[in-house]
Amino acid sequence: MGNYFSPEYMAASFPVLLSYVGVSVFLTVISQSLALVLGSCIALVRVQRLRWISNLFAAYISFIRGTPFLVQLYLICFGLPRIIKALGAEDIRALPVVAFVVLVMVLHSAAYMSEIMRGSLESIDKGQLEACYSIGMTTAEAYRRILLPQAFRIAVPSLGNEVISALKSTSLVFNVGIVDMMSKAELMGSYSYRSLELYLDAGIIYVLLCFILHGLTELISNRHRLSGNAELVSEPATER
Amino acid sequence: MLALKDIYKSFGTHEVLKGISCTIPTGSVTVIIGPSGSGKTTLLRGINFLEPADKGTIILDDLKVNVEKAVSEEIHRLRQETAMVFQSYNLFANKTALENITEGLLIVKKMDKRQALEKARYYLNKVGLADREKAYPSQLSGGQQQRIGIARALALDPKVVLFDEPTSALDPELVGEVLDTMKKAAEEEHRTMLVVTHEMAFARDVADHVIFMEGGYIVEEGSPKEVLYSPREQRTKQFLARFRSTAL
Repeated sequence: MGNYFSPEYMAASFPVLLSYVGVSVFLTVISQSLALVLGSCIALVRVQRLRWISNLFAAYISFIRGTPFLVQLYLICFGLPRIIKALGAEDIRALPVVAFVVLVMVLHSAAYMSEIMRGSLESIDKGQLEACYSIGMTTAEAYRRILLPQAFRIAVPSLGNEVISALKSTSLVFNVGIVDMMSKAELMGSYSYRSLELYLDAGIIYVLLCFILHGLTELISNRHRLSGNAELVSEPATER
Repeated sequence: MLALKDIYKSFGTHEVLKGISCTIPTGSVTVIIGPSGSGKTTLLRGINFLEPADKGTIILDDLKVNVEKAVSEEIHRLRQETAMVFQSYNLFANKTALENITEGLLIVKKMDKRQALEKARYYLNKVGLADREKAYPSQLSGGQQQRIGIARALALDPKVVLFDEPTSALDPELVGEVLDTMKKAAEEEHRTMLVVTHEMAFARDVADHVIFMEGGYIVEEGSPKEVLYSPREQRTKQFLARFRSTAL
């Protein structure tokens, strides 16, 4: 391959890029945990059909689904500080940019996760809620003890996909000045003129991360299948 | 004692209950029979507000609830003091057989864990499923699920247990075990039971009182002997005729 491709450079660069993996993992873990909580809350509001607030969330979800992640990133990281300053508040540009990135990622994933959780909640047989009421549970107790755990189990594979997609979207944060694997690859490439090797390294690391996430998702859903919940929606069971 | 007074209920323009009044004395078993669409299930679901009625009064001992003006505290109390056994069992799919019974004891009755477990095991044993306490609903047969459903209801010590066609979804050979469990609850524990069913033999053998409903009215009521063997009303006779050759 001569001068066009240097396996030695690729191998040597791999550990350098790998040392930046923490940024992507950190952003993903923090944002996705918060997004799951926020997304579940939004799903609950939408399932309960609380009128105007439910519509408000519907508009928010449409906006998130209708715009690219990069646009959302720019709007929050560059637009939000200006708006807040114009409103006369403290200059929040003093806050680290990571805080804004986490905010964008939470808002982005929460929208998708809320739709996943809403779908799962609505797929649960309504007899489950009736059974809760019949023994004297409140609506809050019913959701906390019975409906949300069941919905979560149904949602695990789809939630896993959302987390994987969020992980990959961290490759865009170099656009707002965070040094992650991708921006390190760019920087190194502009000195060495060997971008191909670096992007391949980055690609391999992303594949490995997604592989691990996929494994975790499988593990979680398998554990629940082992506990006998293959049949989650409680239809009258067939006799055996 | 459970008493219903002038219960009305419509779905849209279709009036399902047209002024139902009846009394279920404490410790007695009342069976409601009648063709489908007669409002039996709606009446039952109106009592614990799963399907709130439009008008009428529900009296459960010292609790008197005007259906139209019912506030959530009253609804909550009615639900806590009654329990229901569903046609489709409705066991909590994410809980084991044992947990299905302890759930209400721990969350609603605020019992401590040791007591709740002891009580749940007592009732599991009572319905003959002591060896299946770790099974999830999806691992149990319909008959077993329904027996757990009955245990879940009984363990709460409700003032009235409402049975909504508890055997209708079961294979014929599993009906017997569920009816036996119900019979035991009535005879050994003297539970107050309101049962909607098509099992005429159960009505004949276990009921203290039989109500025949049709078209949203109570057409006829009385002892099983009166209603099932010498009905006064023409409609009751017609309805019972098709059971005559088999169950009765």
